[in-house]
Amino acid sequence: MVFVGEMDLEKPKYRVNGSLLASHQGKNVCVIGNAHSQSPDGKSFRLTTSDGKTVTVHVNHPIQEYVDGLVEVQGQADNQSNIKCYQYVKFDPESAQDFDMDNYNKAIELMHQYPEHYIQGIKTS
Amino acid sequence: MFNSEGYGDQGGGYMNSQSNFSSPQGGGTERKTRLKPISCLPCTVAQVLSTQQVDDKFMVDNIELNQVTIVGMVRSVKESATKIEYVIDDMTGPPLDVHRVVALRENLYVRVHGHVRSFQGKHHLMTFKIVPITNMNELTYHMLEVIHGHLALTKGVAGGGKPVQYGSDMDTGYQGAHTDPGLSPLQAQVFQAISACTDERGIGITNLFEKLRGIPQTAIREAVDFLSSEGHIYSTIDDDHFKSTESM
Repeated sequence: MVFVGEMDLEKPKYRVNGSLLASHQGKNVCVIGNAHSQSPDGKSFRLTTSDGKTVTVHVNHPIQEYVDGLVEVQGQADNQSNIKCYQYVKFDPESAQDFDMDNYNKAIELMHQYPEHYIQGIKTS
Repeated sequence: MFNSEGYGDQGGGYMNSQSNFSSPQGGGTERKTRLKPISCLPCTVAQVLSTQQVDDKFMVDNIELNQVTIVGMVRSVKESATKIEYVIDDMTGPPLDVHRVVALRENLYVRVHGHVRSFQGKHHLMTFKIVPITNMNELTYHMLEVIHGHLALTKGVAGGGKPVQYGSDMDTGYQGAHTDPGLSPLQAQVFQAISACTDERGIGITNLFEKLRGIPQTAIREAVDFLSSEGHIYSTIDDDHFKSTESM
């Protein structure tokens, strides 16, 4: 686990898939996918999201390790449906091995279809 | 009407209100209009933080929130003399303070069971159980459970008047999955005997001895001590009466 940059934890990090990135431009998002194709300079990698889209994840500081397998990326969606990464989490292979991407993707879609039943964000008074 | 059905009154287990022994007076008049508190609602951190505090009660959708379960990532760990304070983030809003006496490490996803509490105007959870997530499908499962739980609370269940009985669906997989590991057969037996007791004062140790006749009393005592130290059970009216933290 690595910290990359600072993110405003007080705001929700909306769980999205690749398609939903477009409607979350500029917002903090949280995307689970399979990481691959890390750039040689360690400043980006590709993430195949739960709906089968592939997006580019940019990090500020070069990553010192090899990132692959099931990864959760927390960051900001940019205007090209790519992600500026604040933090990524590699899940250990044991807990990730049976992960059902399709189920996760369906859960994400439901969550966005019925936002009144999956409460995100709080009113600041 | 859903309201008159009383979601918490159902005997399903997972969401019933038996474990609420801290308010034995039965509520008086103001409670008549409300549903009984739910024993364990799956929800998001944002939901916990958005609950309205009415006197000492936490209200969500006009229902008193008693215990909740959330799934989120450990953001930070702060140790003090009396407790360990975890900050848990499930991405739905500001991270939540969670107080508990077990060691976890940062950036680990965990399932938390706890009571909603408030201190100096800030909501936190007083937990009786934190389990690291060993299968990431549990995250998906929880997301769906949150939607389902809220839907059932606010709208009732599709195709019929009866609110869902949470326990019945869950017992087979998830519920059983994290009560059993780590318990010896004897401990599991003692735990079951304690869980089966519906008396709000819990089960007395002599009663337990009788129920489990054939097992040496010292072995039962040892099992009770173990279950108590692991947070599966707690003592109630005195040191010889116990109740299970899992509502059965």
